[in-house]
Amino acid sequence: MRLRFWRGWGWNRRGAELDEELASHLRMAEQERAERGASPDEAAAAARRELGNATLVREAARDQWGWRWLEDFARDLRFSARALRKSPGFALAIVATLALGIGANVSMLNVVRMLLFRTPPRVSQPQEIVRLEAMDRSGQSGPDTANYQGYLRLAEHMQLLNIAAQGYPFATDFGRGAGAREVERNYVSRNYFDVLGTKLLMGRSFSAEEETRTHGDSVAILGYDFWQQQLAGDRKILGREVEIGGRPHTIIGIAPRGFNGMDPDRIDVWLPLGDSGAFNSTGSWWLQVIGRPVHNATRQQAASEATSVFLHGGGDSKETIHATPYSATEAGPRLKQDSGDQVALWLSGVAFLVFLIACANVANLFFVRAIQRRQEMAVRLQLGATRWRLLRQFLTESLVLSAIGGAAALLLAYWARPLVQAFLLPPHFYMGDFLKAGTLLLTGSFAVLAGIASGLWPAWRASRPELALALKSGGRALHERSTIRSVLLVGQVALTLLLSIGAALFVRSLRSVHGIQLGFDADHVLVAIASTSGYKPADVSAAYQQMLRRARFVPGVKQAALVAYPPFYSYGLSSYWNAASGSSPARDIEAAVNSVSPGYFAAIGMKILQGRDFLPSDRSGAPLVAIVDQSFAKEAAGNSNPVGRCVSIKSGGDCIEIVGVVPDERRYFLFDDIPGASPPNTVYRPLGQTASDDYLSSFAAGGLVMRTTGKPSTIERIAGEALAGVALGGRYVEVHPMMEKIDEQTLPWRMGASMFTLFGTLALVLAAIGIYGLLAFLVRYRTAEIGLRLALGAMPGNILAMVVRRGMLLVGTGILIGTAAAIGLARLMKSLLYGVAPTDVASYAIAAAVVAAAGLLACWIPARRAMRVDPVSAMRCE
Amino acid sequence: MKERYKNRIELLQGTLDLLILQTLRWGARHGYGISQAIRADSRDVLQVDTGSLYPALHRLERQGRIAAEWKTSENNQRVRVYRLTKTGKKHLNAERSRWTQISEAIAGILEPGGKAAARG
Repeated sequence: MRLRFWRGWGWNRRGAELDEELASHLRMAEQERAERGASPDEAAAAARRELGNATLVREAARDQWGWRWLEDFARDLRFSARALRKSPGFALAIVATLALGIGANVSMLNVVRMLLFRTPPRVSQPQEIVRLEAMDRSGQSGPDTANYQGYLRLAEHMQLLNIAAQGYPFATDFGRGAGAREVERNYVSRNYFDVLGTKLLMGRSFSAEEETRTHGDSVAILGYDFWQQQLAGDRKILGREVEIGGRPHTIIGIAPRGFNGMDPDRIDVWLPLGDSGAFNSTGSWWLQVIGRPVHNATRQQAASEATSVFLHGGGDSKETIHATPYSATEAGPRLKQDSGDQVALWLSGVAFLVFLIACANVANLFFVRAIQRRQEMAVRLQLGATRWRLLRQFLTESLVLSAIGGAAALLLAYWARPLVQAFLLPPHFYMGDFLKAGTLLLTGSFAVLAGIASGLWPAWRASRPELALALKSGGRALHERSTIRSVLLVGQVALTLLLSIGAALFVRSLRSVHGIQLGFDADHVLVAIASTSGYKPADVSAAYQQMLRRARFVPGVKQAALVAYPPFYSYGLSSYWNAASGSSPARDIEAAVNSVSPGYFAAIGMKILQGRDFLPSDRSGAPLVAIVDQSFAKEAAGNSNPVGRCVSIKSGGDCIEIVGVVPDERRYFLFDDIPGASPPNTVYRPLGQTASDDYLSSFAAGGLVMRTTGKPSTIERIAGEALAGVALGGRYVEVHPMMEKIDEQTLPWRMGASMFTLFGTLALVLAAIGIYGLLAFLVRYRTAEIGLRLALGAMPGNILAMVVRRGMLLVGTGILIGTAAAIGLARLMKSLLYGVAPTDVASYAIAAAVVAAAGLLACWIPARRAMRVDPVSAMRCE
Repeated sequence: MKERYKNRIELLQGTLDLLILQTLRWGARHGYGISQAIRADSRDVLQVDTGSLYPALHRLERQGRIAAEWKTSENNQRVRVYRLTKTGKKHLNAERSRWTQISEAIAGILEPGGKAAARG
């Protein structure tokens, strides 16, 4: 028993004492009456009468002790526990429903919080960190960067700020030969981690000497994710040497999990400032200076101090230094137009709807239970319990269940984290610790909210004083009209329909997105990009040619070709072309330019519509040729055949003959609404002729595309190994299926489709259970009536129809309301969908059909049971 | 529907406390004894029912104005006996003077010429 340890003092001892006291009072009263001559019985009776209602006396006295409410609460808890143990099915149903509803919400709200209100992980007090930037009098911001000398000067002389420096992240080579990789690196000062308040997981930061070492061996600190994923989390990593950016580095430390500095982009490797080529140059402004104010120095004070140091060092007197909060430059909660963030917000709304549905279901269950216990309630009311007492007990029960449901929800949300990470968050997003106070508080609030919301109304109804009176006239007369339950159910169905419509719309959007014509077949394309920075263009060309030859022999590769700007990997260049054509006036047409090797169009899956592909004979010295896309052809030649026409870079320049026409392609962005994304025309030139072009910058090959016979991912590794063997200087060659790049842009729709479907299904199941529950209850309640009807000659079919009709009426109303609501909300959703109107009739119809079908199924089972009622036994049980 | 259990001389609730304290003035008593004393001293006008008495006793105990302990009575029965504390004595005196003031004031309203009549 819960109060066992209280027994030693407090309640029960006092209670026992009071009982004893009252007993002795009674005795003395009896005695006195007996002395005055009454018979023992009379005396006893009179005495007891005088005492009054002993229980009430006891309770009134105990009230005075002031701890009554706690004792009552404990008693309620015990009572609830007992009652729930007796109906485990009921308790389980409620806990499961709430767990799903609350868990979904906690997960979604966490996601929203992380996406919109992200603070840099593992940085202590990130809001204090400021960035120093120069501004001139007119408020225009000047460079927010400095060179090394400038940084040193600030670091030495500033008292009010702890100063550190960071560069701009960029890609570099890691490793050599087969294990070579592309990594993101950043240059940081040696006190960077200290200033940010980050404790390294292993190892140490750079020393002063290491910071200024510009040649020879250097040191590096690795990021946690990189260490885990690419180096298998090798515990003995410290002290290992690896080549980074062409220099040997010793690994001296590992950053803690999730740490990426102040920005969200993933950093794999932190390098000392001396590694940078700009270290010694005074003209290069490559460092951002950041700092944390000491004690209670204000930003203004720090800024003025920085300004004076800056001026002392010979800075431009027209400029002042400002200390702006680092995070402010990201404009606080970033409600970007980013689709990903918007979908996340929508999904939170959706999750909340599911929560409401869950609460409605739970409320229904409580209603049912309350009705089952109405006799008990009536008796208790008669015995003197107040309404408030009954209400309190109901609420305790619902709160207990909600608390358990909330705990289960936490578990669910915890298990769902990998799912959330995979589907909803940008890759490499660090989710942080799960058991933050915020999460617990959120779950707790939801649980309490659920408990009160779903328990209050049924409790209120069940504890009506009229119950006691009604009981006397025979239980049956007390017909719980279940109007509220029906209303709740209609609401549930409406919400479910909303979710189903959302799911249908998103799925169709996704299909539309997948159906976007790229102009080429990306499903069977592998792209290989080699690290070539620092090498002469001639060497780069030679290396790529070698890779091309090697690629053709990789099993599974049908075709391979080189291209200067692989689509979706590079944006490319554009320039103005002049289409001189006999009759029509010469026009300037803007077009993107790309250089490709022969066989490129076949490799990438573009059909040549007119003319021919490039040939090996189209090389330097041969007549200049080009292949254009359809839009360019239209602009240059109208409806006539463009093949054979001349185009040139400038008016009157060398004639470049059009030898072929290909379809328009999507070069970098999937969607038209991004300015500049609509594919302007494209002109392709052969690599052999552009390598040393005067007007176009030197077009070294930028990538190798391979057409695969099967799925590109299956031969990704083999291709990577084969190509790494001939890579320049043993540096990395990254090989990936092209669809991976494209998929990055479709994430919001995939996310929306999968989550809406998931939530929609959840809501559907909950609503179906709700309908089933209501109808089953009604059938059981009206068993006598059904029996009577059957006995009087009704066909079982009629009964079935009656029940189904009742249920489908609710479902139908819900569908109508849901449809109206969806149309109302349609406008809000417009920006999230693609290729389908928010009032798309087909989607609405499908959603309504699914919901109706589920509803029908839920009606069916109780209806069948009603049909099979045995009239005789039904009427007998009264 | 039964109403919340009411103290029957609620009107005089503060007064009940006063009466209890007064009966304890000259010695300790147990609960039954207190109720009998009040009845007797008021010549049967005020009959305190136990429903009011015991809550009042516990209230006074919690306020520190009376103290209680278990004793064995003459018949070898255990009884809980209450006595006045120092705080209680102070409170009693304060309440007595307040009661005197109030009753004089009320009397002044009910019999405006009373004093004059009495004097006169």
